[in-house]
Amino acid sequence: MASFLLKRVVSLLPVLLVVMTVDFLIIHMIPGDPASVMAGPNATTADIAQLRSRLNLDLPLHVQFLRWAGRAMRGDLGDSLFLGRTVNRAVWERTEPTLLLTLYGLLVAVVFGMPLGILAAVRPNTGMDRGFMLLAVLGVSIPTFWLGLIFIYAFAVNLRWLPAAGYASLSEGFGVNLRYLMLPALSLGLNQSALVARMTRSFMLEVLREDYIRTARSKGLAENLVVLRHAMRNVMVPTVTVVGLIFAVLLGGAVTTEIVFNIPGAGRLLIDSVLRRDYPVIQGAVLYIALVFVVINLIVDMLYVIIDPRIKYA
Amino acid sequence: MSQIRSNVEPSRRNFLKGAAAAGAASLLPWSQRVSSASAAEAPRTGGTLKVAIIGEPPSLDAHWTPASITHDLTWHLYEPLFTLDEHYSVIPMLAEGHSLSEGGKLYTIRLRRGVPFHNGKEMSAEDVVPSIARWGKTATVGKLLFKTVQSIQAKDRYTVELRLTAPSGLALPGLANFSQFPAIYPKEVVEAAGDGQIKEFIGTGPFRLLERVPDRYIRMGRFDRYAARSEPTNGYGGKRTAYVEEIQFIPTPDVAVRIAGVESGEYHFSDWITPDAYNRLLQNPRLDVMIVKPNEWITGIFNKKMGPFTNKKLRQAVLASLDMEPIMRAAVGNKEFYRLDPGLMFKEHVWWSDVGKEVYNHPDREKAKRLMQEAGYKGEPIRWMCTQFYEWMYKSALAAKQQLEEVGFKIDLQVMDWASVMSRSTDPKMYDIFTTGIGDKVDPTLQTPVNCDYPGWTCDPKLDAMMARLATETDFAKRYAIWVDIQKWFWDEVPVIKFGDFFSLRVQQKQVMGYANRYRPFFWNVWLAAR
Repeated sequence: MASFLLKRVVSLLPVLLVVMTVDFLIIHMIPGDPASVMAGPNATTADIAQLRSRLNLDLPLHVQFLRWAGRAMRGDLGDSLFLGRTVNRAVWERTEPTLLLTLYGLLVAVVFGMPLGILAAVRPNTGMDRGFMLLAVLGVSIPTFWLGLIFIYAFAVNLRWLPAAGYASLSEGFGVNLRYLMLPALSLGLNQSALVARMTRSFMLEVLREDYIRTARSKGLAENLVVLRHAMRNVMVPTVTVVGLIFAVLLGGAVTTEIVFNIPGAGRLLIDSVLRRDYPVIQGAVLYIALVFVVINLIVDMLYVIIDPRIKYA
Repeated sequence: MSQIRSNVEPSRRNFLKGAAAAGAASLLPWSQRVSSASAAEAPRTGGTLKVAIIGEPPSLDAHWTPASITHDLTWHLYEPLFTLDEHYSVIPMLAEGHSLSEGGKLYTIRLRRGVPFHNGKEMSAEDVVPSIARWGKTATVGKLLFKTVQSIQAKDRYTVELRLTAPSGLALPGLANFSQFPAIYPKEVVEAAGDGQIKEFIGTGPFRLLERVPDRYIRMGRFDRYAARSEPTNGYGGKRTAYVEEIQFIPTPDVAVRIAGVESGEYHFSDWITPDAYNRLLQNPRLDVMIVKPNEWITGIFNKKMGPFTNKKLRQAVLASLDMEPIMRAAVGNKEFYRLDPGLMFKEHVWWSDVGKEVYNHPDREKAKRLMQEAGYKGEPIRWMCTQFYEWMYKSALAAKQQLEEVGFKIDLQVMDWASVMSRSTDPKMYDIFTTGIGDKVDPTLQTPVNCDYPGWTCDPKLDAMMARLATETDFAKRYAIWVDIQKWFWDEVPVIKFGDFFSLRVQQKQVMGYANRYRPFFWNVWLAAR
């Protein structure tokens, strides 16, 4: 296991190097640069050139890349051109909102999705099964941002039960934090709960057809014990894979929710940075996202071992 | 080509009459909304005002960027030497007054005494000189003005001398300009900044910076030792009082979220609301809505450095093809929010003129086709850059494209993000025309469509000579006459297409009192009524 872990950590390096190079090249290939954005529409060509020089954007591309990559390998991702802070700090400040939103969204997806999927699987081809799966199709089809806008209109503007937008950090209190994230988490999570429901149903149906399940039933075990004690364990392995993937999707998909609910998360940071060509932030944020994906994959692989002791890594 | 006439004879008497009329007329839209029931309720201190703004400001250094969001926030923290009253006349702010001597080349500016910065230090000439000098090197208007500045120095602790190489009509308006305004910082802050942005955000304004968390909020707290002017509030000048304890400016890029936020009570105020929400918001008994006049005019800027629009006849052909009413309706929607007007300076301004009304918005397809033929246009695609980031830019370009194609133009509409438009607009190889908006200017010398240095490159010896005279003349009546000639030149040469003026919408909760609806928003003199 230890050598497996070491191999995975070492293999991070070439992955990150490729990400850094592609990321840098792509952002520098698209038209527009931070100098023209900062200078504004009334600036002269000379104004923009002066600003470009101040920001070292007139250096040859390979020099800019080597300078940035060299510092990045030491953990220094540079300073944001617009936010008045380092990239590390800008990304770190936005980690909490995105992480919490994603976790709450994931919780909603699992809490709503798994029971629905299990119930549909233990009563296949019944009205309940068809009803739940119809809900699942609807859930997958509804865009997250539209659901978010509906929630805002209903619960914030009309009923005034919850805030329409914004964010309160955990340090301001768990209750306040939850108040601001409840609607965004619901709109993000309900969409994915549909996928969790369908996948859980599918895995559960497969497992319920296994011989050992027939044996457990024939021994007279109550159906709920058969499902929860015997079937669930085997359903968990593929389900954890799906949940891991959903976590990654939610992390990326959270950006629309962050925009709709005005949450200062990492997704919004990336979008805003692309629009204003804040090169250091774009480069740094993409690197962080790549790192997160790799780490999530590693955690999922570790969870397999815990859930199914038969799995061993060399 | 019909003769372009002015409707105003340039004379001092007419200027005074016109200024009085313009001043009276300008009072109407500017002060059309001071918050309801403000006369009935006395101001009260306290509370936190939450303002949803269109995005994160690129900087809190007022000298650094012309972004209007930077200005709208930072003028609560910093103050300039001069500002504008409700008629766009220059009035003192941190200055006590000034005198002009040596044939208009020496400005002697007397400073107010006992004005503290947020760090307790008294503002004096030793702070003003480096602040203005830095502004002259950094800001677009500053650089323009400083072309004629010979020196700036402290005569004594409370007097600054600004010596010019030639008289300048831009000097005082420039020092009162909104965008990238000449904020006065402590000397130490300017020195520490070097060639970069300031690192401490200290000014003399009624609010001081408490905290900035990018994309969450910028918090400003009342500065209890603020030294207010004693005369009544007048436009952007006069007495400023910080009633609220704190202002939170909350970046909220999505307009639907800004609207929902004010409707739900999360925010007290927001601007840049889309006009299509106007009728619905009017029905909400909890809200006040305000139309902001003037705002901007929508324009298509021709590339006059290379390509087909180096030819004046082709530019005139485009103007002759266009019916501006459907274009503005497509761009803006609600008729309350746009106006068809040939003035390059807004109707609310003392600088306004309707010279050009005989050619502006007079579509004549036969004339357009004839001009196209005379220009030798053979159907080459015209590359038109625009962005959907600002919907009105995209929609106006789309509507204009349709009309031009009906006449025989071939338009290649290239839609991209705003950063790409701004970057490409400086490269004459990349486009033939691009869409943008022209905001309000304090002085016509700052009008970008008639400036050689700006994208589009409106360079013409006759124009340059008139602009140079406008810059050096200090008498208003004479300056106005020159400006009218420039506008005549403009409607003959057509360096850009003016589609029309458009207005914006602001919304606030009825709890907000004392807000004066002017071109740029500000929150001194604003208080929150008890719920």
